Amino acid sequence: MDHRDQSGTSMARRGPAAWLRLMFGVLVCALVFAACGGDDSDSTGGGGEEEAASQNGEITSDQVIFADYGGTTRTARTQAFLAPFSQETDVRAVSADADPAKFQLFVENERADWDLIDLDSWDVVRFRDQGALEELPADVTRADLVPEEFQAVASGGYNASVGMGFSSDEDAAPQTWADFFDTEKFPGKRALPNFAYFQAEAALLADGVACEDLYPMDFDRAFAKLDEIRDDVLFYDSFGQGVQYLAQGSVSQVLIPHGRIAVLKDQGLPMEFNWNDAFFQWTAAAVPKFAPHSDAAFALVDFMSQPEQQAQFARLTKYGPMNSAALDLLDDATKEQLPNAHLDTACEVDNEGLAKDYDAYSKRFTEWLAKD
Amino acid sequence: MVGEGLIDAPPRELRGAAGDPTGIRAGLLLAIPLAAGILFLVLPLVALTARAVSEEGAGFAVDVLGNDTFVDALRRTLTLSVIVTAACAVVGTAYALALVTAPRLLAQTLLVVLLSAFWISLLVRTFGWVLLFQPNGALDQGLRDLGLIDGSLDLLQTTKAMYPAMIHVLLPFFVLPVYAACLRLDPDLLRAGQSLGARPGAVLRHVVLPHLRPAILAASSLVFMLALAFYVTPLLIGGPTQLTIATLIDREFSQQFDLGSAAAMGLVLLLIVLVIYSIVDRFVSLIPGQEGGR
Repeated sequence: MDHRDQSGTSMARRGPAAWLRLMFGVLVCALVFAACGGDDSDSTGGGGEEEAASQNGEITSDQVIFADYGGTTRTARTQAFLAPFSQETDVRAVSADADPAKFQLFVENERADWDLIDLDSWDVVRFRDQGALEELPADVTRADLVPEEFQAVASGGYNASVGMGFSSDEDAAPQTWADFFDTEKFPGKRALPNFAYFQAEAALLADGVACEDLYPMDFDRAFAKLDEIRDDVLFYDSFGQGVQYLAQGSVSQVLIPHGRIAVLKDQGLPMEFNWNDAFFQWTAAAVPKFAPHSDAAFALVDFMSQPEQQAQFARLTKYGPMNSAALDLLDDATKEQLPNAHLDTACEVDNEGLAKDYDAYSKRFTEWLAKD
Repeated sequence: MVGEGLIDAPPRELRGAAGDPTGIRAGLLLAIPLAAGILFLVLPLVALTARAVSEEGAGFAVDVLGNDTFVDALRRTLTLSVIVTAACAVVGTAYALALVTAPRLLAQTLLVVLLSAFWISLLVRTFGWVLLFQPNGALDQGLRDLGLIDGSLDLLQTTKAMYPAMIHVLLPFFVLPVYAACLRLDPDLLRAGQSLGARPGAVLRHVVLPHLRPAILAASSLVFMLALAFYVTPLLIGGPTQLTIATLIDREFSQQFDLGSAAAMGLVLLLIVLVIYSIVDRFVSLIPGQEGGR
């Protein structure tokens, strides 16, 4: 059985409502249309690929569709990128729910529903290697903090560190992943995502593996370590739910991207983020092959890579800019909250290594979840 | 009544005869449900089967039944469904009887309480249970204030927490059909029973319950069916570790992106439901108004 796991785990996960839409929408559409031959080819209108990028700075499409995982990054993306882009270019920029299952079908059907998708760095590797991503034209601004080998397909994103959020009401502050797994010394429940997202890596670091030796992962060792805390774990399906568990005192520690903690801490909630060995990753606004409005998509990636826009997104979310020029536009207090300022203590994700492991990882993780 | 209906019915040979305009119209009317049936039932089933066979092979059902996760989820789902249906049958029948026998004001209140469950969104009601059950949530705090517990009951993301939530959600589906049957109950029958010397218990057992039997069976099968395929409540209350068939299929589909396996599991669930129903149908008729099996 071929487990082509495409679990999208970008900065904000879809909530249950989106799951329902997905159930009904995709199931009915995919099956009925598959049965009917699915021959109602692209009716969304606008410029086709052949028109795209042919003329300099001229956008013929009237809209551009950005797929993401909802939540706080969508709100900030609209504020920092989509709304000002629409104002400047007269192209309507709309958000859609990213759904990796659908993304897979785009390549199969040679037809895409979105023009851009918010991809995690290891997903950039995976989808690039599958040939599912469009190369960015030369005139699109490149974000200089994106590693060179990915700059052909990735720009306009942000970076994030995934680590330990904890309640500052407790007496002692956890320092390491070993503390996360030590429920004797640090009592209380733990919250973990219900999709594969650095749980195994955290377990390996807690078990004494060094950050640079993580991949390929020793799954038996990782899941044996996770077994130790399994009875003390609450699983969440969106980052919003994860911080909610922490805010309501249901758990004392949560594995989560730092931005979710930083924003709530700014609002006065008693929570902290531990930067030690937090997993540093980045994302990209990637253009899928067969995107119906790719000319507008390229223009939007270019816009999203500009220092002022990158800085604005960082102010709103505390996720870091990928264009280093944006850092000069931020005040020191904000910069201190960004992963860019904590790289010295971070565990930088080996994206190629994680991309190779990902299918097996996700399969093992879902098996571990379901086992009673 | 039945006799009159027979006399009023048009002679058989007139219906559907060629040249009869009503025959054409009836045919057109039939086309809509027929087309809907083909579009929404037959075609998706064909596509589903094609997907399952092409990706999992012709023996997909055997593979699915040999999958430990599926068998676990199946066992959990069947246990849940049977117990929830039984609980709904007991509570729901009592509730329906209370609706017709209680004093007017109380009966109206009970009816409004029942219907409010329909008016409030399923998601909202289920989230209510989540807030109640989560560690350090409303239930834990309440019991701690009363001095009954120390820590937490740890109910969220367990199977046992699904029972009250599912009974809460499914109870109206049981009560309403039984309530309708209670309204059709002939008061003369009750009076006849009493005048012949039956105590209230005997009237309930020998007059009321036999009269309600078809409605109770139909409502039970409806609730059982809904419980088998229940999605939202198991997802939010049971979480990813307590998978039911519906949440497992969703996981295969939207997280594992294994369409073939999701299709195979869906078809196996359908087959299991058909088998259960054909067995049940041997003993009792599941269509209201028809008494007895074959």
